[in-house]
Amino acid sequence: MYLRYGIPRGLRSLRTNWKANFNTILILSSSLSVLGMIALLYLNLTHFSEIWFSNSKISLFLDSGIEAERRTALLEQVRGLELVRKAELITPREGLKALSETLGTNQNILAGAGVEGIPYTIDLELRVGHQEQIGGVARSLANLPGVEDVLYTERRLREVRMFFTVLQGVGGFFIALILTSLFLIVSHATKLSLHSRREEIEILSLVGATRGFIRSSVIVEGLLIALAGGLFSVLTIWICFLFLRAGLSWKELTSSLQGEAIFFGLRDLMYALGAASLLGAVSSYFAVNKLLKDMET
Amino acid sequence: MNPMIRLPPDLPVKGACDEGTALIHFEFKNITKSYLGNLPVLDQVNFKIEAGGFYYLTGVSGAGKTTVFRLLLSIERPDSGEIYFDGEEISEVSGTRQALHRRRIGMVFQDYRLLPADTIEENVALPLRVSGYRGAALRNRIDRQLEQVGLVERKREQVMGLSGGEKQLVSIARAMSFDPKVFFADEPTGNLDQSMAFRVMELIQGLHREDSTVVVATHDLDLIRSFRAKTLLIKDRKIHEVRLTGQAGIS
Repeated sequence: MYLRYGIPRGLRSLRTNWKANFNTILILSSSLSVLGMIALLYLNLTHFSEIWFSNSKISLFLDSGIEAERRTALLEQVRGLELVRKAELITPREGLKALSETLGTNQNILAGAGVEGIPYTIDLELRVGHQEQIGGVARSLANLPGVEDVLYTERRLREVRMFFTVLQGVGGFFIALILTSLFLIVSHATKLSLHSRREEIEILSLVGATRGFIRSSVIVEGLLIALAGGLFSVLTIWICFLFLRAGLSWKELTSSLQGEAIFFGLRDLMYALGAASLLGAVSSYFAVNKLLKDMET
Repeated sequence: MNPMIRLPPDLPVKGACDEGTALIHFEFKNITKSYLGNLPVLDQVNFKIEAGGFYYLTGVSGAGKTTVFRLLLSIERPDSGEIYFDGEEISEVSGTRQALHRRRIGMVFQDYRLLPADTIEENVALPLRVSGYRGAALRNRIDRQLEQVGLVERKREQVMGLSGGEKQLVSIARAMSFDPKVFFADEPTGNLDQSMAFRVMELIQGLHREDSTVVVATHDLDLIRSFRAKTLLIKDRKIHEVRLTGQAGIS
């Protein structure tokens, strides 16, 4: 019975008080957009770091004069390790070629250099999710017979790891702060919106409507306002995302990340919209309850 | 119309309603009510409203007529004393019991208390929806009530476009819609011209003929003279049963 009255009444109230409701939707949508943008930036930074970690390699420089059979045996031994995703043997010639490609326009410094002195190398990558163990893996590989030296990006990894730990802390703090303010904003916006319906609520109460009956239409209205605010914010974040992604191509440093930038998945968006609607419904519930209590006393 | 009641200084008042054999709808027992620590509006008031009776509640502006209605509807709570409706104590009711209590009373307000953006039929439908009416039963009830007040042809018009008198007719139709046994009207003619005031009072008198208990708050002596009924006067924070005498006085 409550929803039979509540849904059409809530919809009608949205139309009747469209100015107040539009303002509420704008306030909600702005707050949700800020929250969503922080979440999206965090999501992409995490994603980029995973890509970066997955590209980090360990290079095993083999003893000069190591026999072909021993090289192959070492390669198989490394490939057989559980954490290793990929391992390949780089000949001195391939090593020189890769080095000159890395140097790019500065490759003239290698002019006249031969393959003599360049060792055989095994380049390996760890499985996704195990990149943080790179230091331990590298140290254990350094002890293998036939391995002269090991090179890996441990220091950089440590720095990046620290950066993300700080980012997680700061991001978490800001998300909690914004969520709290969002709840307060939604509560106040709902109270303002409810103010325009105060007379209707008083009349309903006078003609014998129960609290549940009165709450039904207010909660439906709050839920729809929050849902509309959520949809608006998704649209805003999507537009911002497109601009930011286009912006990545302006700098040579970030252009490689352009294709890697990601947006929220459909399931995440559904959860977010559900949470926004719930937030609207809960704040409406509290606001209308307070109003009814005030009216009763 | 005379907005003020002139009381002779030697007014002989009868005191509270006498005990009778009739069924009692409402009873105030030692009710005191004050606002924000001011002097009480009602002080140790005792009176009864008999089932099927037609009462005027009168007194000067600010005497406490609206307070009596607010107490009867359980909008206000008394500082002390008890209020009974059909033998049930209602002065402290809240929540669902309060809502169910209000569903037994048809109420007409001086300021109409209608939803201006809604249509006439939506306003009349409000208490019916609250009581669970739906579909054809709801529509039939609305049409029946609007026919009685002569607004059935205009039921889809918005209330905000109506005159004061028409709004009061909608308000009466809404109050009658669920056939309440008790009907309160707080200054129902206060904002109306004479002809509309008489039409409204005829409708209210019609309710009384249908066996409802009717209580009308007014300070309009002409109205009281034209539609005779028991008159309760609020004076000096007490309620007394009185009779009108002559052109200007009350005894």
